[in-house]
This record gives sequence, structure tokens and C-alpha cells, in this order.
Amino acid sequence: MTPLKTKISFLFAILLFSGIILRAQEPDPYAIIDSVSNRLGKINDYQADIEIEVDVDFIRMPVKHARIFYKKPDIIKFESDEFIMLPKRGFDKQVTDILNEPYSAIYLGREELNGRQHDMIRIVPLGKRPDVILATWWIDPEKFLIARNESTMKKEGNFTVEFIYGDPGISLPTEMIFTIEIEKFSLPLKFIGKSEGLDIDREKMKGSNTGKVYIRFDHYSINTSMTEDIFH
Amino acid sequence: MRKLVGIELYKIFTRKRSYIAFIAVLLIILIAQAAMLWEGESMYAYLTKNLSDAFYMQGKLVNGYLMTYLVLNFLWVHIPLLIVIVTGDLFSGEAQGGTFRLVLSRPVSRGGLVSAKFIAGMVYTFVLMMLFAVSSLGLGLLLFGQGDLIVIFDTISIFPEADVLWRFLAAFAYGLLGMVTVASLSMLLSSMASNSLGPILSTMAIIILFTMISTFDFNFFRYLKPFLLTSYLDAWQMFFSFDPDISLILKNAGVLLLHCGIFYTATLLYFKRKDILT
Repeated sequence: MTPLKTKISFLFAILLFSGIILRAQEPDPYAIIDSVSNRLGKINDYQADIEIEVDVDFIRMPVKHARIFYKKPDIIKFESDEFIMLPKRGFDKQVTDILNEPYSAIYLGREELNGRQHDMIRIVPLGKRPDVILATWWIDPEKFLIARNESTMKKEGNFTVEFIYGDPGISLPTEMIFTIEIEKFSLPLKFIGKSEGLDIDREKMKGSNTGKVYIRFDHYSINTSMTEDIFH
Repeated sequence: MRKLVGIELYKIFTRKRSYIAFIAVLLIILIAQAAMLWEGESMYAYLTKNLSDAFYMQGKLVNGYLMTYLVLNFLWVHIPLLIVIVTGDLFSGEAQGGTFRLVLSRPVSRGGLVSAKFIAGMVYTFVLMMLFAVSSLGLGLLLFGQGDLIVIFDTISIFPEADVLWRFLAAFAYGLLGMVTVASLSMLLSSMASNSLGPILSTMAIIILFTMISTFDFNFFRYLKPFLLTSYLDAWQMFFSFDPDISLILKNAGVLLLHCGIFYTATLLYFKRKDILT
């Protein structure tokens, strides 16, 4: 073997070996999701005070307050003296629904989010009739908590939820920020009154609107052996 | 003056036609509330369909405040017409009945008589408005209960329950000022007429015409709007905004007050010079 051939063979061997090492170092997305699932699975029930702020161009309402009650597997109740609005997508059992059905997961790499590196995993639900077609989760590699969830629904478009965590010992977020798409708001007729003298921007009513909903959690009580009576 | 006002009020409240407005207001409110009781939920679901696609909504938005707000909108156009049935007849009724000569042969100044009739007309308007406010709000709350108020113009505003009552009180107060202005106009026209029907119909015609012009969005009418009384009547709706433009509301209220002053002064000047022939 000539010295040149020897060098090329050596270089090829190094490249192949480093590729194998790199591949071996890539985290297993299923293992990460299992860790997330295990962490979430430890929560049997919780209740917390919530503050809801709706930031949609054509909706004006002050910050609302309520108390949320949750019990495994998927019972949720809100208590409030006020009228409250909560996003339909992303707030309910969407994460557990994905985890409880077959899915395919692809590791996409690492990305910085809120000053920390997160594992990005794309999930394709393979259940019979999944509501979510595709989801991408940003998962904290140390805490195994979902920091961001971008999902595409079968019928209802896209939404994004960001999770902000406070107390490191609690697997539940202190704030959830929803970015949702709302179809243009249409009234069947100029319903009531006139708009003169009111600061109304008619452009806000046209096309599809993207809005944000902030839900802040406080005074968590977790795993208190909540009975189902509270939900009736 | 108190005695004169008392006599004028006695005249108003002993006439049967004065109660047409009360009965009409009560009937309209009853019918409207009954219709809302029947169809309020489905109407609300229809209006908020877009929202319910994206949001879970919990709470009672079909409540007494929403009902009162809707009734307010439906009735606001018609209340002036009911008021002028009485106030448009205050002067012309006496002219037609031939009682002016009798009244003015007593030690009563013409200015005093005009003031007494204006005060009596305003008291009548106040009583009617109170009935309107108490019955619409009271019946609404009784039938539908309390809750946050949803107001839909082109945007959706949801006012917390605790932030609603003052808006209604302010809206009714502003509405009262508007109705007093309409009553003043009808009394001016009434002072110029010698039959009952003329000033009542003339005031109604003016209100309907001005309202139509205020509603059309043509450039030509836009220049006219600031000079029309009706352009200022529905500014009560501004109280149902999160940032009500108080200076604009005060300006509008000032314009209405100015109208009242002008109508009163014109009536006074005209009536003092008027030949009383009947």
C-alpha cells in the first residue's frame, strides 16, 4: 500500500469512527420523552390559583382570576366568580394524549430557549384519530420539563405554548404563554350601537388574528389526594 | 314658582295621554326581556361563535346587565318619541283649549309660566327615565341575574360585574340630559303652535330626519352632523368603553345643555311677545 493510500484509509477510518461516536452521543428522543412522562406521572392531582390575561386585538377584558383543580387522568375544573376565557388548544390533556398513544419521535438537536439549552424533539402521533398532526417539544435536558410546545392540529391550525417554571421542585409551570390563531371575528350584522367616539380599529377585525393568552399559576397544592366530589 | 310647577305637574299627571309613554316603556321592556329569556342564550352563542372555537368560556354573560344594555339600544330611538307626546302639548294644548287667557289674566308672569312648564316637562321626562332605568335594570337583574357585561361594537369588551353599574348610571344620566333636550325642543315648537298635533309631529319628524342624517355616512352629511341635535344623543354608549373619552362626553353633554338653554330662551322670548288670542 502506498503512503498516500494509507493516509486516505486512515482519514476515512477516523471520519467513520467519529460519525459512529457522534451518532452514539445523540440523545434518544424516546428516553427523553419517557423521563418527561415519568416526571409528569408523579402528579396525581393539583389545585392552584390562576390569573388569566387575554391579549387579542379585538378582545378587551381585564385580567381574570380563577382556581384550577386537576385530577388524573384528565379531570379539570375551574372555579371563578368572574367570566373566564381559556384557550381550547394546549391547555387540556393534549400532552398526556400524545404520550398515551403510539407516536414517532425524532431528535432535532439542541436550541437555546430563555438562556438555557433545550432538546428539540419532533413528535408525530400515530394513534387512530389524533387531534394533533405534528408537535415539537423543547425539553430541558436536566429537569425533563417541556419548555415549549409547538403543535399543528388537524382542524384548528397551529398553536404554541411556552412554559415558565419557578420552584425547581415543582414540575408544574408558574406561567403558560399561549400563542393562538383566531379566525377573523365576524358579527352577523352591525349588532348594536354605533362606533363613533370609540377608539375602534376596524383593521383588527380583518383576516386571521394571532393572540396571546398568559396564564399565571400561584399557590399550588399538589398530590393532596383530591376526591372527585370536588369536580361535581 | 313652586305652586306654578305644582299646577303644571298636576295638569300633566291628570291627563291620560301622559301614561301612554309609561305603559309603552313597560310593555316594550317586558316584551324585550321575555324575548331575551327565550332566545338570549342562542343569540349569545351565535354572536360568540368565533370565540368559542378558540376558547373555553365559563361564566354567565347572558345576564341582567347584557339585557339592560340591549334594551337600552333598542329603546333609545323610541323614548324621545314617547316623551314629546306629552311635552309637545304643554303649550299648544292650552292654546288649543283656550285656557291661556284665563291663566295669564291671573298674577302670573309669562316668564314664570314658561319656566314652570319647562320644569314640569323636565320632571315628567325624569320620571319616565327613572321608570325606564329601574324597570329595565331591575327586571333584567331579576330575570337574568348579575354577571360580567359583554359589549360588542366592532370589538368585544367584557366588563367585570363590579365595573358595570356606574356605567349604567352614567349612561342613564346622560340619556336623561338628551331626553330633556328633546323635550325642550318640543316645548319650543309647542309654544309656537296653537294645535296639539303640530308640535308633536314636528318634533318627531325633526328627530327622525336628524337621526337618519346622523346614520348615513356620506361626506355631505358628515359636515352637517356637528350641527344636529341627534348626533349627541347616543354618546351614552361611550361609557361602555374601557377608556371612555370623558372630555368628549363632557363636550357632547355641553352641546346638549347649550341646546336646552337655546330652546328655553327662544321659548321665553317668543312667548313673551306672543299674542294670546285664545
